[in-house]
Amino acid sequence: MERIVVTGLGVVSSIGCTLDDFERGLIEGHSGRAPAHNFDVSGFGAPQACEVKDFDPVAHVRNTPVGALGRSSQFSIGAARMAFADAGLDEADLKGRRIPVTIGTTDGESQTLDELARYWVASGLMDAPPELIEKSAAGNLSNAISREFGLRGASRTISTACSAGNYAIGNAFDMLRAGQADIAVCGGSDSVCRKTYSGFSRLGTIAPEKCQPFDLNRQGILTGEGSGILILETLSSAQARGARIHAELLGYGLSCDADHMVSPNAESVARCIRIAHDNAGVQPSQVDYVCAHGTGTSANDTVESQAIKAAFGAHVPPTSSIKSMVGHSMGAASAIASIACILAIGRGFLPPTINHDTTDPNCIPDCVPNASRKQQVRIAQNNGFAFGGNNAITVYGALDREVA
Amino acid sequence: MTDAIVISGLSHIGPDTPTPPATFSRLSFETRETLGKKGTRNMDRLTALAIGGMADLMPTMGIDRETPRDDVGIVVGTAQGSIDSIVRFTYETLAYDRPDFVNPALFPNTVMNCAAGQAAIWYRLRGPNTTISCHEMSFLAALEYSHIQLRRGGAQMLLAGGVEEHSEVGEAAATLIAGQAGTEPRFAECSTFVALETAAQAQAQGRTALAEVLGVRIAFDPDAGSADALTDLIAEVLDGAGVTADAVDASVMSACWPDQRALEREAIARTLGPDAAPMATFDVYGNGGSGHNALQLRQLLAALSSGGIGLLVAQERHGNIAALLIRKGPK
Repeated sequence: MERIVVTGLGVVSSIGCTLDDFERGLIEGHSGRAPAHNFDVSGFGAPQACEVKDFDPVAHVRNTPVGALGRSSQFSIGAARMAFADAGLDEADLKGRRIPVTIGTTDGESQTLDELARYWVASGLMDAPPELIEKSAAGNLSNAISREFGLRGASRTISTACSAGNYAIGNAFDMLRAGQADIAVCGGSDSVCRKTYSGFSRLGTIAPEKCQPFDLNRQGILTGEGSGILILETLSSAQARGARIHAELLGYGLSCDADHMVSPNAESVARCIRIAHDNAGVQPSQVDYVCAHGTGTSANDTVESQAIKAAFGAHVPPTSSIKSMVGHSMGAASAIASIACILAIGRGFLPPTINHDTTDPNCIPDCVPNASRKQQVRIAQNNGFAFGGNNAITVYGALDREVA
Repeated sequence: MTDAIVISGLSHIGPDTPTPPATFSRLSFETRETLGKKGTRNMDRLTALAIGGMADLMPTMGIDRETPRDDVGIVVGTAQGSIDSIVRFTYETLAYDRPDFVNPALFPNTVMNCAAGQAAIWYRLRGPNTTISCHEMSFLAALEYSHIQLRRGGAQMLLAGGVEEHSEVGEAAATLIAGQAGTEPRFAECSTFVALETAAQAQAQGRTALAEVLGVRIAFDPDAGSADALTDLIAEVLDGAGVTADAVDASVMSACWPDQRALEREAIARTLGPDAAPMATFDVYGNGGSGHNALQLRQLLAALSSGGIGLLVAQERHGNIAALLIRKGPK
């Protein structure tokens, strides 16, 4: 079976809009939180959010009218352009190739849908410009990349909410394994929006100030945004062009709770971990690091910890949540977290869980509190869970490890 | 042929008679009448249509709502989830004195995977549960995704469908788009699901396949001004299946928009010959939105005799293209 490797990474996040800045943020434990100003917060006081700063779409979008793109599509193109550059692939060589694009999302072009609601309140739905409707289609997130770079492969948007990034990476993995392409683009994108902030706020799951995953006194999430894009490639393609290889994508697993739309289910998450390990061909004892879904809500962190303990037994690897730093970027979250796993493998460090005061005894024992740790990582597991009970887990490995 | 993927069942709620022009047809489907009161209090129409749309598959596929099934999953094609649930939720945060007057029980309806997740709960299906958004090609994207998942062994069976609801926000959005394109607003509500599994499993379970999937591919056409990309894709699917053009007995195109319709017609003519007379789904049912390709599939199945080979093509307005080749089963 053809081995699948990661040759390019691109990231747009609240702690940095280049791979270098993002990596430095993970190592130094930066926080992306600030007063929210990229969506309508009227009626909410002065909430905090982890918004993307310093992203200039014009610097990235070259072949598409920027105004025709929603914020999430702009992030997608930006992260994809950086990922192609990181992979050493020239735009001129990409055009016309049968390269598939799969992008995960929770809310698609949520800011344009917010705007549609504002038209409705102000004067009526039919007063909205048709261009706004065009801009709001979820399918645009993947199509925007395909069109910008002239790619002729399948262009899919997977809208399985907050695990969608991992779903998308799994889909690209399958395309390459099936021999339908040599190179694939995948990841996830989302934008902050009033709808999502309001919903989580009403559920009482937004932290008033900081996000503290696995802390005894954790109070919830901070909403975030961004995009994480991976260039996946068959090992033979990467070797043939002498590409630098970040890591190997060993496999992935999906499961569905079929239990409750919002509350996670430990048994189902543990099952997903086992499916992912089986697919990746790894034993639990081989996993050096788990990048947690780790939202910072009471329910998620407890249930995720139970599931990890059930799946790993006595050997629970260090498990941290980068959401403490970058917030919850929804459909982008597990794609951005995948990049964190890949950097952990390539650079030999564990990203921290910042804002940590008191470990919750019901959670995992080692959340890499507050400071990153120098450590060799051979195999890293990335958890992604979502409303709807949609669990998706990806597993990455150092390329030079022995293949079982 | 035992590793072939077959369509072992199809269930459908949707237009069975032609959709009149200049309308957004609403089915007589009512959530509580069909699904009952339990568990449907906060369910939106899209989710209810999805659950109702796949209901007829369950007895044949051995799914009973009592036994959790880890080996069966659901793949829903929906362009936008319920745009009505999403935009209405935000509307309510803006329209009232305080934003937190919204009903928190409606928040899960605003994620696009709500229908897939709720259907999994309803039928206790714990296998891969995926939602795909590909505009009016969402059904075929779901079918193609399912095909890949089954081939990799990710599930024993997948229920893949396309669902479109009629709603206040959806009707406004569709009308605005049709107006911009200068076409008649003619839209149809529908929910259609197919059960996909390997031919070997269908046979072992004594299920007669409605059709075998000889090939399915989706791709993107960045130029979208010529029929070349779709022509190439059709050729790829035919070649992959070892089927020659003269063996194709019937074809169907989506025909949703004038420009794309012309490309679909040209690609079929270039592949199957100038005499090929593809059916045009829009002309009968209007635009079925996320379920449009499913309406095409039903038309194609109805036109084929046992053992006949049919080709379904779609050139979607945003540049997505698809080709599906099937052989109709023995019944």
